[in-house]
Amino acid sequence: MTEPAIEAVSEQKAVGALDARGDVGEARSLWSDAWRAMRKNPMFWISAGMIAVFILMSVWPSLFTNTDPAYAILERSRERPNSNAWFGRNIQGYDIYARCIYGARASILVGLMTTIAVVLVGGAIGVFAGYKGGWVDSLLSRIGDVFFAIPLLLGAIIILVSLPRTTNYWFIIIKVVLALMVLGWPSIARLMRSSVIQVKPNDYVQAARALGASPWRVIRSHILPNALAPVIVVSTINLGGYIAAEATLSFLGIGLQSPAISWGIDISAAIVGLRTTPHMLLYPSLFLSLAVLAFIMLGDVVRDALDPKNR
Amino acid sequence: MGTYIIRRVLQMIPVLLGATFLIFAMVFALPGDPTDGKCGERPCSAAYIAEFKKEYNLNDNLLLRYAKYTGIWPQDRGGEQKFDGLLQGNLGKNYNGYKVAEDLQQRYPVTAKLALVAIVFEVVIGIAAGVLTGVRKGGFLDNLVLVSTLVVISIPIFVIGALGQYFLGVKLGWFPVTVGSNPTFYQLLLPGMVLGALSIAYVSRLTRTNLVENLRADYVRTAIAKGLTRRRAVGLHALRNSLIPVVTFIGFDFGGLLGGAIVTERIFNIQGVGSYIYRGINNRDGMAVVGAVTVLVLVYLIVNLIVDLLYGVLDPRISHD
Repeated sequence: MTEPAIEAVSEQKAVGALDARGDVGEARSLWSDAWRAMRKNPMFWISAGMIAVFILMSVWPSLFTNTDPAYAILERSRERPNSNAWFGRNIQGYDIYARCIYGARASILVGLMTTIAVVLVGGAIGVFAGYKGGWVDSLLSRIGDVFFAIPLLLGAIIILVSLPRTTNYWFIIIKVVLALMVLGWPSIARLMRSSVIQVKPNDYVQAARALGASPWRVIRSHILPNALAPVIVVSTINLGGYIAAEATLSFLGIGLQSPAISWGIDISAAIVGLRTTPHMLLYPSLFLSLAVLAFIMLGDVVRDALDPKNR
Repeated sequence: MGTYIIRRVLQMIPVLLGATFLIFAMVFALPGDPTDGKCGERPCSAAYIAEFKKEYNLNDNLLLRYAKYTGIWPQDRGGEQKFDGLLQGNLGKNYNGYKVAEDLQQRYPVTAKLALVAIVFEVVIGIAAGVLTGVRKGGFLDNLVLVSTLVVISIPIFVIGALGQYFLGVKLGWFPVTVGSNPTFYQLLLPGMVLGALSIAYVSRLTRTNLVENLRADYVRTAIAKGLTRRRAVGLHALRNSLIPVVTFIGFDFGGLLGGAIVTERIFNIQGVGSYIYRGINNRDGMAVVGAVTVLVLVYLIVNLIVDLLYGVLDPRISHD
């Protein structure tokens, strides 16, 4: 063998393609394929970086600022951005930069917790309905239709108002999560059900059942890995939507309330000053939009990577 | 076709009953006493409260009250037992003693106009943008629309509303800033745009994705091969098939539009159903909220039935027989 030929063969081995005998190399799953595609996409790194910063901000806000977001200097109310307060001050004289940093926690918490809750509840119901089929499927689908017919925002308002009033930060967050979860699960359940129904008739699932695998095992190791992709894409995109919904509820005066710090509260308080002090509105809206954007972009990238037609 | 529609209408009944029951249970679980503040600066007399509770069946348990509300159980009307509820076409009275149906008659046309403006915007601008970008995938326009839809999606609706109101309404003076009680289509143009902004973004992206996929299909190649112009092949063959998911989205988004109307109507001071429901919730007026939401859910279900029937028009391969 000449030098270049050996080189070529070793190169092929390195990328895991055909080896010297012409056999197919190491098998690549859908996920590792997707990961390879995503790694090369700059949008993936941008959105993942933004999400990492926002999560860091919500876990450890003091890393970004030393200012106390609840320390109001009323005489400097509505101050424009300056070297002392980078983003200026709002009506109450709070430092807007500090409030933007500390406000991340509420939005990220609501977004993540709602998504996890919706995926767990909706996913479990969807898998159960799709796997069982028959009257269980019809019943669960109709129940899903009932919840689906109520507009998310409207239902969330009614649920939030009917839950007991509290000033505890965590209780309010959980209330918002609960309201969004109760109305959000049917969309994931529908999606999960349809992909389970697509996967279920495949030979490998039938083979596993014929070999005597329990339903739990069939679902866990054969159906779920192959049916999860669309749910992951949609929930990532929805996560951004839940963050926006939390802000909208705060705007309507129903979600989080002062003294809790959230972008939604600050935005709704700043809208009155749109004409005279636009900086009060600009910065919280910018942070909120960037957070929503990051999750939607990540969802888009994951969807493109998982879809073989896009390669 | 006829049997399909009948079957779908029958399927609507349990969904409608379930959704109204859900709302009914949630609304009447709202904390607070509806007779608060009914009698001015003093507490209401025991006789008034008793009469009020009897009038609105507040002494019964939830299930019985719901049965009376839907009209499958008789209720006491001036001494005689009468079936008087949803099934008889009666939405009851709100806690101020006005008939909910009459209130809704005033307010539904306003919200319907608003939703119509929003949907027209969605369809015209969304599909046009989708087609322009889908035909030239990867071009400058494509990237511009992709980025601008991302921006629109990520800005919350109330910020878009406030910005639009200020810049287009106050600064430029193109549109009225707030809307009166009996609005014209022109007055609702800006609120409709704001309400539909999010959906325009989704519609254009959905149209683009589906068009790009269908342009690769064999029937489009055949159409071009047999000598049709590209315009005709795209417009008549590819676009028509690409619209099915778009129409599905518009139907399914209709509920979200009606929910979003709560925010838009608040920003622009529109006297529609959204503000009616919002006020009903704040005033603990259960009858008003339940009545308005029931009609809302019914409209939503009918719109989705129409969407399903449209499939057959768009794609002759789909038949409902």
